[in-house]
Amino acid sequence: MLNKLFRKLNKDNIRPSEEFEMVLSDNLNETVEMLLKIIGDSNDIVQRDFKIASSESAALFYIEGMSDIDSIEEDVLKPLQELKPEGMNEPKDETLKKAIQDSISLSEIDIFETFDDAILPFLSGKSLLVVDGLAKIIILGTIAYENRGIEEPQSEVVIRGPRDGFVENIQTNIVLIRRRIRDPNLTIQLGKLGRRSKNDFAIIYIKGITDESLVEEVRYRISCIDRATIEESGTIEQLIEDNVLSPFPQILQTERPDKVAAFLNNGQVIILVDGTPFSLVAPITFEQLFKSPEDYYDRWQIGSLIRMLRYSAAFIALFLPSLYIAMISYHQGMIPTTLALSIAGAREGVPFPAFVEALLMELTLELLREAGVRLPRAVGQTIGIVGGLVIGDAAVRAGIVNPIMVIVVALTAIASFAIPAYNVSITLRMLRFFLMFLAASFGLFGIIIGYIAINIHLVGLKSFGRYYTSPFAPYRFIDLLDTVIRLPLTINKKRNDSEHTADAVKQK
Amino acid sequence: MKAGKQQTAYQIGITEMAVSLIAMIVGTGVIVLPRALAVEMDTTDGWITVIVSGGFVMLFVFIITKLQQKFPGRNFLQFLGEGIFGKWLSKLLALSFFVYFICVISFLSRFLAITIDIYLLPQTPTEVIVMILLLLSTYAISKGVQGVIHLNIMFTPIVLSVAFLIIIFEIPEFDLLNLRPIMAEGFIPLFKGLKETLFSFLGIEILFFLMAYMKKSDIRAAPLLISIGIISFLYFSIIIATFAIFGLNSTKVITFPMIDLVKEIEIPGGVLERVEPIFITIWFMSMFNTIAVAHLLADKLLKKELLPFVKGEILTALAVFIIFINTFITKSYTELSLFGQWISTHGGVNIIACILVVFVTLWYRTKKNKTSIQEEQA
Repeated sequence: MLNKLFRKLNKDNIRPSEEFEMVLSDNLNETVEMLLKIIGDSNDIVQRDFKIASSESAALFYIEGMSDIDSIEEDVLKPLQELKPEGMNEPKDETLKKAIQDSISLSEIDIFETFDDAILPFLSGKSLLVVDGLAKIIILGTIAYENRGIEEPQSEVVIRGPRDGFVENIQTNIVLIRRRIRDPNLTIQLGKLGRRSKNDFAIIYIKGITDESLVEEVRYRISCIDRATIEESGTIEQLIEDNVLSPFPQILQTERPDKVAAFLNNGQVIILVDGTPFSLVAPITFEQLFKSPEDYYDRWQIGSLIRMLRYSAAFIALFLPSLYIAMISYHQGMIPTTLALSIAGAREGVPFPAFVEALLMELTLELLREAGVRLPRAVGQTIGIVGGLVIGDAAVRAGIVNPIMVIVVALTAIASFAIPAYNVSITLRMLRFFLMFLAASFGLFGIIIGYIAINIHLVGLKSFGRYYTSPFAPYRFIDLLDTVIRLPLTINKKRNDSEHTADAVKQK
Repeated sequence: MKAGKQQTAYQIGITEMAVSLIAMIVGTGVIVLPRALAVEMDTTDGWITVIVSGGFVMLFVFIITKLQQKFPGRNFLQFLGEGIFGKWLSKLLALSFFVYFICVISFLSRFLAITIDIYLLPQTPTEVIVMILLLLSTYAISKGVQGVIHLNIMFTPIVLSVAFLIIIFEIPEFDLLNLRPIMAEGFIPLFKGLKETLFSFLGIEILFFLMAYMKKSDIRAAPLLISIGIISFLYFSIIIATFAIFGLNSTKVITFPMIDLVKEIEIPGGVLERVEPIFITIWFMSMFNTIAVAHLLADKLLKKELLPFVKGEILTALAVFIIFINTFITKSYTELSLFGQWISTHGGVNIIACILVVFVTLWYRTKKNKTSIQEEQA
């Protein structure tokens, strides 16, 4: 039923025509007039009239700030103006074209015959040259790149591993990947998305490792996107994922080129979008969200230990508050007597049932975290200390919560930070409240109900045709070993989920 | 949201099938088997019976696999349905199995409700528990065969490891003298217990239905026999543990010997005072697996075989309603045990009838084919 609804919502409306039905003329004034009509009233568009070889009048357009003015002066205007007037005789347009091509010292010169083709490159920062007597538009590659320096990504910090991260510029990002995989089979397909924003995006995969039908599927889903603007790769993620109603991320996002290279090598497809450092990886399985590239850089024992620690962290982040609620309200008999007594003593002054108490503290915690993220960095830390220590201590003293609840909440918070993928930790935070509610209603029975319900959901979930819960189910022994612990590199010779890759073996 | 191009029909792998078999069979049997054996046999020789009946079940599984190899990609009902006479027979068998599965779900739900009522939630009405359980299993079967099988694979390792862990924890408490004398009263008690142990292996009937979803090359008996072996070993160790710890006479009066075994455990360090709530919680996963598989098959039987002309999800809702009503027909635990006996007999008869019918049909059709080929040649 929902599918029907989505189809209805996505039904292709009549797109407004994007074509400018105008014919180029060889009269300079007419062309300029038309151009001004198209690019309209924007003040940042600079028109520079000049004469080529002091005889042919010409006009150069560029967008202030997007084009490299030095380059325009040095490589375009100067050589053209200093061109010798000799040899400028008939047939006029051919000689002109040749003269211009010969004298301009830029590597990127395109000549277009229609406005449609020329406008898009012009709007992305190239300059546009029209010459009297030439019914063509010359586009000159004078884009000025303004780049943030390549820094370590804030969202995925590692101790051991490369310190470079993606930036907002897609070209730079592609270079970062190419540096890592110098394989001629590395395929990078560029395209544009967004009816108005025309964002550049790239689909990247390694031919011969990635299943062709998977690439086909990714391409198909992306081409189905019809939106005016693509703000971030997250927008694409939501538009191409398999199940919109699921709280679980079905596409992985990362800022790390080394992680991306590893995924490429595993036969997955990467989607890069211009304007954001976050790249998308598809398809993924649930366990891949718990892996950090660092696991593979250290010795395998260390990797294994940290990985098991991470799984327990996920378990704590998801279940600890609900277990606390269940034990306090339903199964007091399970708690050791001395501990039960001390909890009872601590809870003596607390007026609320355990569920309300836990809910209060968890909500406070989420609030603190959200506030900490939004605040300026220096103030953010202060908020952490003030919130954590002062509110926690004051709440206990005021008798709103008991000290053990504070321990539970703090442990949960720390555990949820130990998960490498930010979006999964949010999902677990959300499900935690669901489980807390169930635990408050049915105790341990409620928790197991919640656990089974989550599992049923996960089992039905697919990411680009690949089972989300693999390698647990469908069961793959070697992959499973590399999920729970980290196998030594000398043993693990197959790619993950090798059934879905064209080339299963990654080392001999 | 958009139809994936590369999604192909799901096929059960042989490992997945083997694990599902464990998931289906291991259920109530583990919890009540030692007591039933103690009452029935009046000796502590239950463990021998388990080994013997394990062998019998292996034979059954072997036969079923061999039969299934003759018609891969279809279940036996579809196979029977191809003949004129077989069509009615297949409808009859489908009805019989449908009733059986419905009763199994009711029995298990009631059993679970009772245990949860005793050990976890004394104040919650059992109706609520059963309702939640059925809602959950309806959600599970909405994911289809693939979903249910994958659930089995996710839960069974946890359940099995917990069960074996408990037994390992119990080893220091063992008093093997309780197991003696071995076969003091000869072979007769062994036969008495055979029925009981064979019934605790019920669940192999899912092979009739689920092996239709397997590739022909995957239909092999060995992994399935291994899972029967694992289950036999589990039953064997539980019976040994119960008798060794409680002795024959106490075992006779304990309702849920396995849960009482868990009560005996002392967790080193005293992190938890009592662990049986955790055991029941984990055991719930195993029971849920059994319920989900039975529910899936009941649902499929109703929709595909019995009432194929009714469209929509109304049948699923109807089945759940019948199960819910059926669950509360039994009033007490004693009645429930009787009901369980009745279901077990029904299930056993079903399995044997199926094997016979399929075998005869197969024999008849091969003979007919041979004669027709001979006629063509002549």
